[in-house]
Amino acid sequence: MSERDLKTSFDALPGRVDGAAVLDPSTGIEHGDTAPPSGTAGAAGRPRRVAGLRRPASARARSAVDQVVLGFAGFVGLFALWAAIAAVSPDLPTPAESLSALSDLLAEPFHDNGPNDKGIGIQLMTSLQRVFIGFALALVVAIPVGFAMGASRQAWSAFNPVVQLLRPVSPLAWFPLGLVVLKAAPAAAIFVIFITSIWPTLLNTAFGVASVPESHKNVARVFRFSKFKYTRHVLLPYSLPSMVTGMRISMGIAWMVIVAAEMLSGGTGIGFFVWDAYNASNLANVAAAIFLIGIVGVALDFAFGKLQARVQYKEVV
Amino acid sequence: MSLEIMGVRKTFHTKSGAQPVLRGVDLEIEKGEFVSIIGHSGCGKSTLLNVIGGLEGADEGKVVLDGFRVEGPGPDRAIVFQNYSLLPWMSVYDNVVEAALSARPDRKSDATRDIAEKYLRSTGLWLHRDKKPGEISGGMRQRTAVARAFAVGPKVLLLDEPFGALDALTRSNLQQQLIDLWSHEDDTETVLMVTHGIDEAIFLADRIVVMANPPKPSVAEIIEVKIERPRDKAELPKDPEYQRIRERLVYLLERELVTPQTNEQEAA
Ligand SMILES: Nc1ncnc2c1ncn2[C@@H]1O[C@H](COP(=O)(O)OP(=O)(O)OP(=O)(O)O)[C@@H](O)[C@H]1O
Ligand SMILES: [Mg+2]
Repeated sequence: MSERDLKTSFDALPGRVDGAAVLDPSTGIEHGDTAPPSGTAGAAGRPRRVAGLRRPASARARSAVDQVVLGFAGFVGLFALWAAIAAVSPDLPTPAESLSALSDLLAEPFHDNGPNDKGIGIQLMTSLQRVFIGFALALVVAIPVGFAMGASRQAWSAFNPVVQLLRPVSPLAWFPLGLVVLKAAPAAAIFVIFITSIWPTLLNTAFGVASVPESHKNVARVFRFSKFKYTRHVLLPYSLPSMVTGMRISMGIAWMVIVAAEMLSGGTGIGFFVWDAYNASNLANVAAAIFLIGIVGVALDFAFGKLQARVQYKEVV
Repeated sequence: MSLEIMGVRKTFHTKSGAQPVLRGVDLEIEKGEFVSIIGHSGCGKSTLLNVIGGLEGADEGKVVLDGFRVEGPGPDRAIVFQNYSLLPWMSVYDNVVEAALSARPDRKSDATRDIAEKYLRSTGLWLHRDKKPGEISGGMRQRTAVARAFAVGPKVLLLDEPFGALDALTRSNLQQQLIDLWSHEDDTETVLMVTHGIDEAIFLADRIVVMANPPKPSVAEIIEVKIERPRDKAELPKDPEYQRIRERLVYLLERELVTPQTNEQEAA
């Protein structure tokens, strides 16, 4: 009945596809980051732990070795390609130059010689701080609204058109508005992150709340769970996994967007650092920064993967 | 507490068309009665139980419990679902205790915890009480669902094949507990139990409702089991009344009520 309609309209959202793409590696993480992406396992928007077949220890060890070797090979390939392109395009830094720039940057990551000379660690911390503030503010909005949308048809009808309209807009388009209202570039960058982080969390929360199976609801009805108890013992635990999935996607996008936002806002942050290095024609620093941004992104995703595994319960079929 | 089911009709509308599942069900169950429902797969046993439980509304007719029309689920009825319906994020213990606590606000919570412990122990789950449903066997899940319903001690206990997934010994043990609950505890007066087991139905019930697939009426026959209680499982097969009922049930289920639909389902 109503759930089904809601679900169908959800499936129709292009956003589900975004979700699925980001979800695949998450299913991987639950297998200790070793399993190859299993098709579109996350297509339903709810990653579920698939009971992994235990392979003998020797086979597992062998495949772990394979993974290290192949992963290493992938990087070798990347560096080879990069070296080849750098050879024909002399403006590009070579891998070796970039590595040495990286080691220079990491030699004194937290040095602070005034506004124009801050260590890369400080820049990353500044960006992370902005991401966390914007992300936290987004949760305050996205989770309650997501709950309301998932739980009530009226709330769904009221919010969904607005969400659908705003969701595809590049968050950077909000930057000027943030700047005018907040009158400070760093605050505007945080505002951009706030907007960015809302949508995946909101939609995944709504999806989780809307898709509580009839059998769980029946338990609550037959045993007369109070509203509070239903929320605490059915709604929340059931929708937590998809909520955290949404948060994980939000965080991933926020970390991508902060770089661009700081290129606009200037002053501090890793995005500013990249832009500043470009202006100083120090492309080796740009390459080094790309690497570090990637590392931080992996760490953030890993942390949310852990959180996801924590809230994930084992489904009973 | 008498339970009256009057002219209940329920049709499911699916893509493949309308399916009249309950085709005018009339049943009157006395307070204190133990009734078994038996019938082929898909004949509407679970649907009937859900209507009585108030989880599904009837298209026509009504269910009246002690003079009050059933409009939804109530604390006077607890269900053991066919698919167990445990909450997968809660431990076995919490599944039982939380349900019992909220279904029985009239009891002191310590009393409820004691009762929950009693049934968790007697269903052999006490040592596994901290495990999640995903970490126990199918039979243990079924026992958890049984313990949960028993711990509620409702006036009317609705059981949907509660012992289907259990080994013979555990089943026998739980059947005895069900009888104890029903005959000794003040709370649980009336039991309505869906089963596929002919012997189980005769051993437990005062009356057996035999349900049928279309085009037969939903309730094909009601058989009284006039065998003295307490019934002795070992002696039962020698009882002529038992033999008569068993023969009749086998005939109904294996001959008379076999429809093209049942055949198709058995084959599937
Ligand atoms: N929600 C529903 N929507 C559509 N059809 C349904 C629904 N619930 C049950 N049915 C159909 O109604 C019929 C009766 O279902 P029901 O679950 O009551 O059978 P049952 O007698 O309990 O069978 P079993 O012994 O296999 O449990 C079946 O054919 C089933 O497909
Ligand atoms: Mg059934």
